[in-house]
Amino acid sequence: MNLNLLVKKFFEENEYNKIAERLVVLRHDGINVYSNMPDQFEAASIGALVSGVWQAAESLSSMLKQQNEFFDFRLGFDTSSDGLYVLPFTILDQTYYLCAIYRDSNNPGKLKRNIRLLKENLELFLSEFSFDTEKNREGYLFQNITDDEMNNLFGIGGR
Amino acid sequence: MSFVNYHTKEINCKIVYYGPGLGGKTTNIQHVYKKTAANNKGQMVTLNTENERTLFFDFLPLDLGMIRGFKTRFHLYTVPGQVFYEASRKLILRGVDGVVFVADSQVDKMESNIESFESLKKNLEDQGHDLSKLPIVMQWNKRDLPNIIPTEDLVTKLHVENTPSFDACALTGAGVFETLKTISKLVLLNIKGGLETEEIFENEIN
Repeated sequence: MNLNLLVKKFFEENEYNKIAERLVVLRHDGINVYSNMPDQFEAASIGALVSGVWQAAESLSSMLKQQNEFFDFRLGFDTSSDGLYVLPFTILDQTYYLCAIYRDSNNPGKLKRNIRLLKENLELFLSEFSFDTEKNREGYLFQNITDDEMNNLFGIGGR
Repeated sequence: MSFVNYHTKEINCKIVYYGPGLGGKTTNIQHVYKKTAANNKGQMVTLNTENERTLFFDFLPLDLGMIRGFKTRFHLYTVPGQVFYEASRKLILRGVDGVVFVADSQVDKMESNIESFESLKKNLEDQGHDLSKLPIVMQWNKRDLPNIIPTEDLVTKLHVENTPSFDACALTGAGVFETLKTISKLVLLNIKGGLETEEIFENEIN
């Protein structure tokens, strides 16, 4: 099964995509698996920033206590109505993050609780499937790429 | 680590621009940003100090278009060049698919280039990368300035005789896209995970 499609199905069929203004599921390296945003470039930027801020927070925490596991941690940056909330979770030994960005919330405590429940439901949902990954495949995606193909690829800008 | 979505036919790759402080890493991706059509790029994210030095990283998502039916998205990052941001550089290198080392060609920057390149090699090795297998491209930047080191000397002193390299002036854009095109090709050729037989057939039909 394809992870991206499954996560999309999970959010959209249950209308979980409406829980917060911005919802992004990303890999530990910042690449998006799902977002509820129409602008995929903005989602990519959120992915890069969340991954960076989480990794920086992990490094800071490790300075206080020798630690390699951060699955029980959560990361928040908020006021009494606006903020972001990041939760890690694991699928097949790979770390992913669920990030919610919200504003004008009357009850951010309740919203965060709902996001924690959402993460648990997502983990449970995904645990029932196996996924198609590069690890299951042999060889290289491209055996060769011609200069013409690269020129075509780079012909898209205003250069 | 590159991410290939075989179902939606999307490839995501991470390229990091590494090098000594004030060497032109940010200028490189600013030029790419400036010269790329609006619908092929996202906003450039910059995390700077007050005097516009890179504090954590710059980030630019680029959609380059299709290659053999796959949509390619490159995530360009720069690291902060200043020596005391070593911890940040280590974080940004995680999951890297290819590196552009931006060297400063000025004579008095040779020591900084060597120090930065050694730190790159150490950080990559610490993260388990096999340096002989990770795509790296060298860029000799600021070739327009007086008092520069001959490129042969840069190659010899950094021991990169077998690594692709380009002369550049990132400020004017000379050499910027040549460098990016080469590292992109090397990264694409290095993506593991071939197509299944039925996917090859499907690709040929499309």
